[in-house]
Amino acid sequence: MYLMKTKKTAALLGLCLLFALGLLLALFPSPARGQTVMGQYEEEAPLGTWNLFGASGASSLGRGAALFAPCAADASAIFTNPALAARLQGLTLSVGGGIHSASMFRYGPVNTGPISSADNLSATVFALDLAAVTWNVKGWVVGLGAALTEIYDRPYVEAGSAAYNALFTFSQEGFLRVWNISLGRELLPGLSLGLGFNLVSGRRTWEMNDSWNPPARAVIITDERSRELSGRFLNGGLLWRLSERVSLAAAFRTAFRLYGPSRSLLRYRAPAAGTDILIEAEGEDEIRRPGVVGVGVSWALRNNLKILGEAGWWNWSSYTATSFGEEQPRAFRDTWRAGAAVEYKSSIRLFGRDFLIPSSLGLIYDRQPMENPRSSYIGYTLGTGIHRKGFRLDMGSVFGFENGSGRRLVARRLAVTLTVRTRPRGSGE
Amino acid sequence: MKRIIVFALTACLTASLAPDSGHTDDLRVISLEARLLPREAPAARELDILMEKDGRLYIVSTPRDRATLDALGIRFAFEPSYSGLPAAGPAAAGGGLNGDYHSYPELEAELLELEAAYPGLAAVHILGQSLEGRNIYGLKISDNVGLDEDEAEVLFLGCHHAREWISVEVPLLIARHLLENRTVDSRVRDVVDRSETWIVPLVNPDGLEYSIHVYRYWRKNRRANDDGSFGVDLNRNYGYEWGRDNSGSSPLPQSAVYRGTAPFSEPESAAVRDFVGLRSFLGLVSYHSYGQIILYPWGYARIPVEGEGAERMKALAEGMSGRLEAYRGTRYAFGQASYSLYLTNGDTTDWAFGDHGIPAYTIELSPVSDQDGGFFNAETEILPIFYENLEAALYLIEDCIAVYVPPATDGRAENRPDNRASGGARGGR
Repeated sequence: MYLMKTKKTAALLGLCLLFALGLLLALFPSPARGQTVMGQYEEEAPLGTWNLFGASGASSLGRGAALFAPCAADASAIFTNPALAARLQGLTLSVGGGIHSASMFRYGPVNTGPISSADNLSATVFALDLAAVTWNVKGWVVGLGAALTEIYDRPYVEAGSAAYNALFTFSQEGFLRVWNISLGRELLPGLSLGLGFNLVSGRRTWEMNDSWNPPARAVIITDERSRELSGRFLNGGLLWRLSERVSLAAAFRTAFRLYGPSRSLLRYRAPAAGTDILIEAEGEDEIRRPGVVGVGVSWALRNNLKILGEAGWWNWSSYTATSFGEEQPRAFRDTWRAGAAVEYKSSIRLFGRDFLIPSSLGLIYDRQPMENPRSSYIGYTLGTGIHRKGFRLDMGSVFGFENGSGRRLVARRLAVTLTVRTRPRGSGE
Repeated sequence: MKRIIVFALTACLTASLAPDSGHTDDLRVISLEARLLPREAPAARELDILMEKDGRLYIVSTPRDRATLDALGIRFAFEPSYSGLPAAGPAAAGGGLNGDYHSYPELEAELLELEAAYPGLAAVHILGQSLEGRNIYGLKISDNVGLDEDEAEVLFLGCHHAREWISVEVPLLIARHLLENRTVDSRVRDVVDRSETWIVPLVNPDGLEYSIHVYRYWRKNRRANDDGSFGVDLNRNYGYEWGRDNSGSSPLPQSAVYRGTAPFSEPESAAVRDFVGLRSFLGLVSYHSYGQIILYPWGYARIPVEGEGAERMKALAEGMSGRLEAYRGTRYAFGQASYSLYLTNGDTTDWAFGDHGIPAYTIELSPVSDQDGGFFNAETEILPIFYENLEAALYLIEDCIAVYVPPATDGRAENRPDNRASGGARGGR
């Protein structure tokens, strides 16, 4: 008993040390490097981190933004590891939304040439970002869902000079949605497997306008591009309950191509002179997203106290991207990400009813794939919620601080997920 | 009446170009100096003369006609603009964001195709690498291209400034024209066999790629400056009178005419410097846009250019201007840069003439003003702009041939070792 207590204490102390180290790392960024490359935000870069995997609800977000750890709290588990959904009983419906926000310094024409800013700029997106349902029928769990998996928005910029009647504007937006159908089952006592088939679809648009001269001699340049994106991949994994208190999980996603038609219109107009020059282009583009594997562990120290840990690896060295048929230079490396979290559950009595209140705190280290500059995000997560029988309202947040570009970029996400179950869920996770 | 005959005949020629006519490749409209072939001469009676204009005879010729003229030693030129016949179509670029204009990968591919298609006449060399590691290619065109023969050398440069897309196309099309027409055009054969013509269509490959993929109006290279701005104006980075004053260039990194930290601080201009230093050019053209003007040194100060070679340089400018206008009436002014346009220091032509005594020209291609398109040229204008500059380029080469004096010792020399991209070793591509 004493030994168990010692182990638990050691585990908690270890977590505290990790948090402290993470705080130190986040507060002291590495020196800025000179760069002639875009860094974090190539045109096809998702908002926030490059290392995305499926979609996760607020509960997972609050627990170290867990992607691989065995902590299925709602139906969103189908997007990462359908084996976790095999533990959900009855019918489970989850919907969620939230705020995605990130700061950036160098993207498109901003701080790469024509437009400069002294500070980082931010893009914020409000979105209903997941809806999923799982249905457990005699041990087989079927899952269906749709989620927002990548966002390509950039901060809108507008710059001008009254002296030259000049105005420059730039905007980029886009998204990628995933549609999932999955199947999971507990094949042996304590061992569950799951597999999902996913279709992704989305688009990305870019518009730049540049004009100058008084109206009598105005010159207007417009650069508009649009890309349609689609692809498909498999995801899957296993869940292994080693004991009443310890579980292991492993998950994967196959590498996949995002491909589709691209169109552009480059236009030069000088209306007073009747000049209207068009260069139109069409192409087929392809972006190769990497394969992902990860493992996670959860350890219930007590009935109301649990710690989680996980690590994942992304095969970014195989990454390629084309733009209107031309391969773009992208020097990426394989990279990994690790996270840990602690969750404590307490109960309160409201309106004559007992409610369970989970509280979680997590830490993430997320290395980014660019060779130059080398950077990483260190993130903190917070989560809470209110649960009663078949009803869960979870809130989770992550704050990531980038280290390496010299700009202290920040990525944030705040999520809320509502889950309804037709039957009480099974014991343990 | 003559004009009606020309149009009617052209229409007949065009009408005869049914796909299965089988004879379209035989008939070509050519022109020659009228004084070389009086109408009463027996040879003239055999020819199908369209018209006489500005001292030239325009003739619809068969291969036998052309062979006859060759045998008589009468030089002639092909006139694709009058024929309605398909010219030996210069290959357009592969499409993409920049339409029919060449990107760096497209240019690289085309230069290597020309080398492969015309072994013995065309050889691709690598002059150096840009900041982002792209090759700066030079194409040598001559008979016995693998040898350094005692022949006049002429250099055509393009795209010091990224947004001047047409300045890549014109020298590239000149190269293609020389290679494709050497066996069918006696004048071209004479030029190719009696000179060594070097074409460097893309001095600023990094800037061009940025102009295509990010910001159309980018001018400079992609140097990351210490103040966070990007780019050095390569045409202010040459060593002759570099940084003489802040009127002809700027010490401010964010300026569009930033001269750099030192003469030849940029690998792109240094590559041109090192290359020119290995050779003995008798003429140099650096294509730019826009403005429709031929400029010669000095640009750094408003002092008349005098001394050895100055009179020839001025006369050539006037001659090129006349030939440019003869094609379709496009007027290209000409004059000393500092008087005709604005002060520039550290530019290519001042350095070529000041340090090496090479008659050197900046040819600002069409249009005249931003109201007519500025740095934008419609894709349909690429060939007309090329053709109106072709005659000027041939004229310059022919003059260099005429003034060339071989060295006192005779004999041919093997090629000096340099970084060839063709054949076996293809390092750095």
